[in-house]
Amino acid sequence: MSSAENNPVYGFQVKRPVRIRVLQVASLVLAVAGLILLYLFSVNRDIPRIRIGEITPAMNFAIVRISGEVIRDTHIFQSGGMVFNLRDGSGEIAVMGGRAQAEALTSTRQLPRRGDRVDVAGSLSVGADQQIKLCIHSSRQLFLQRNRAEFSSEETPRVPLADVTINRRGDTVTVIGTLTAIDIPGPGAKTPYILTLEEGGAELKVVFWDDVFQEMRKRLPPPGKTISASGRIEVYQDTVQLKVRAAGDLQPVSVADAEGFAVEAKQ
Amino acid sequence: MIFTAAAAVLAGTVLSCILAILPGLHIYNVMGLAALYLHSLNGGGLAAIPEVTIPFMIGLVTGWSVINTIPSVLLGAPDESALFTVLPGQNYLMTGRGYEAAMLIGAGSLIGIFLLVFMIGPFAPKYVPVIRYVLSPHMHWILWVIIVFILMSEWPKRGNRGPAGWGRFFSAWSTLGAGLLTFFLSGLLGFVLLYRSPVSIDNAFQNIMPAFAGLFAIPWCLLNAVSGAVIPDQRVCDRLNIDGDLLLRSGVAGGLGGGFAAFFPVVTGGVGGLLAGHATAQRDERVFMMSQGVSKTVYYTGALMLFFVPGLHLTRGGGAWILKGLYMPHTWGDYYLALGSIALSGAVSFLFMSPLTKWTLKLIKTVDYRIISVLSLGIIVALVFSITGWAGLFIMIVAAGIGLIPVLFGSRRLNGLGVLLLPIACNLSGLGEPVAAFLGLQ
Repeated sequence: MSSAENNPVYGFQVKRPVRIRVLQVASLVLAVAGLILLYLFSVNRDIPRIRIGEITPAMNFAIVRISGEVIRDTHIFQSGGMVFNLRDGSGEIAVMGGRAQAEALTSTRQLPRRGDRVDVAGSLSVGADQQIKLCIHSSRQLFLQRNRAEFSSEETPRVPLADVTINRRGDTVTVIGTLTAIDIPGPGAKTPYILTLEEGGAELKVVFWDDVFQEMRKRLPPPGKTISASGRIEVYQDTVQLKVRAAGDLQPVSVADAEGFAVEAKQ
Repeated sequence: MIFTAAAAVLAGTVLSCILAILPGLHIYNVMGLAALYLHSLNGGGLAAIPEVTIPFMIGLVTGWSVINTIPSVLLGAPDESALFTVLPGQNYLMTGRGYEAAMLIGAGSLIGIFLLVFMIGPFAPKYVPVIRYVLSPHMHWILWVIIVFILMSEWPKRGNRGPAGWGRFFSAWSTLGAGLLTFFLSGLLGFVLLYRSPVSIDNAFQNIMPAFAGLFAIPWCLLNAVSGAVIPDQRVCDRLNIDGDLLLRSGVAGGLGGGFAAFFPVVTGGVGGLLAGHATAQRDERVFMMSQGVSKTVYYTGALMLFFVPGLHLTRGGGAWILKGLYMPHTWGDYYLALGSIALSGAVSFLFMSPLTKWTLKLIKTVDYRIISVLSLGIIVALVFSITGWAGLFIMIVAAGIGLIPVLFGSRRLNGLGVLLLPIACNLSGLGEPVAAFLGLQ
């Protein structure tokens, strides 16, 4: 059929018919261009900020940002993952992270502790059992503002070991003593690390968990070293102990400092 | 209460049987809409009763997993889990045996229901937690093996003849390259949706739905709307040319493929079908088709059943994720309710199989199925828009562009599963965060 002929069903023959290959390439261009546009749309869009009380079951998998106060210290699981709890005035939420996020936060000493303020982005997991979780994808999406007031050794009162008694339960104090024993939990054990400090015949157990040990880059001071420990006085199974919450609250001190502190404490 | 539950199962089953006839429409889209409605009821202080919600939802999934064979075979519009039934189904259809093909796959679905209720169901609470404990640390590399298997089991469909040279080389690689490109692009789309989904957070639980509609449903509808195949007269038979041996072989292959897909995260019915197909394809087309029926039913219904296994807390498949927002099973009573609902719904939907197949055959004789495809396309677009809004439509269009690549180049559409497989495999291997950071998604 020549180009001039008209077919009653198929119409006239065009001079330069379009090759199917051209349409195939056009579809590829369309798909790639669409994906690029979608990508640009997504990355240039702020992650929505919400309050915990506004979360509904239909928001499952939503990527959101939440700010609030940490109400429970970060706990590191045996699997390497982590969890801490956050409160923003409208509700509470558990913030979960995997091993990679926990390791990144530990190495940068950014593991949230009680009292810290946190701004964090992640994906929501909402079930009908009302257990709402925020799963963080990256440690870079967690911004931390430390609350140093509660545990800072500069601001906590320094007391002699002998004065750490059951009567001071709940107080946050700083003590200095000689490290006499180290108790390390066995593999898989759910017990804390325990350092025993001695000063003037009095002994005190200083306890901390694996997250602090990780924060210390798995290095403990050797026995015989004089160290300063800041933390909360707690009682466990009728034994008074000092609970340390951050690696920075355990510091080696020089003998001269320790003696100066002893004089200061006596006065 | 038992009558209420039975009525809810029947209502879900009947509704899904009607919806399953519409080519391209996925039951998870309908469940998403139902979930939104139930959430709004809860928000208004009206709580939906679990004894009604659970059986109704199970009826929807089970009925649909059995009846969606009909559009796959007669209208050439399968969902992702039934992709591999199209070719043999079309062979049967073009020789006037479409009814027989649909009933063969339906028989496979019935075997799948039997497997779930009588073989997997009684042992799942004891053994599935053990299997999960053993396999959990290995999920990441198993997913990568599946990805490699999907990509490497694609074969060149051109370039077999002609003089050797670059022309023949490129001709052979055009389908393979299109498959790889589809997987890669859909994987990138998956990263965007997982890390920075543009869908409104108010309906985020359906944020992957527009991508699935675009990758799998829209290309089928478009293809069917522009194609003009004439379907020959169909013969309706009252016997199927199968025996116990063939049923057993298809049950084993399909049960393993579908069970694998139901248990592993983000592995879908399409992958289960691929595995089942590789176990049976070389032997007998009937076994192949029945195994596909077993696989897709075990995948859809089995994944939902695992959600109810006491103490397992395993959420697999879109149906279970949607239900999780509505109800968390806690007791053995929930498990028995789920198993009973699956059995009842499976039985009723198989009874619907024959009359619905005959009805559809009559329908495509009288109504041009291009019109049916356009109608389905309209319904899918309306559903996506109503749940996810303009952002969802945008995602759907982009995904449709990617989903059309295998259609135009003749490669395997299963590569579109990269949308889930690639980002999740990266995440499980600890690579998700660096890749997302590299893409600027964090």
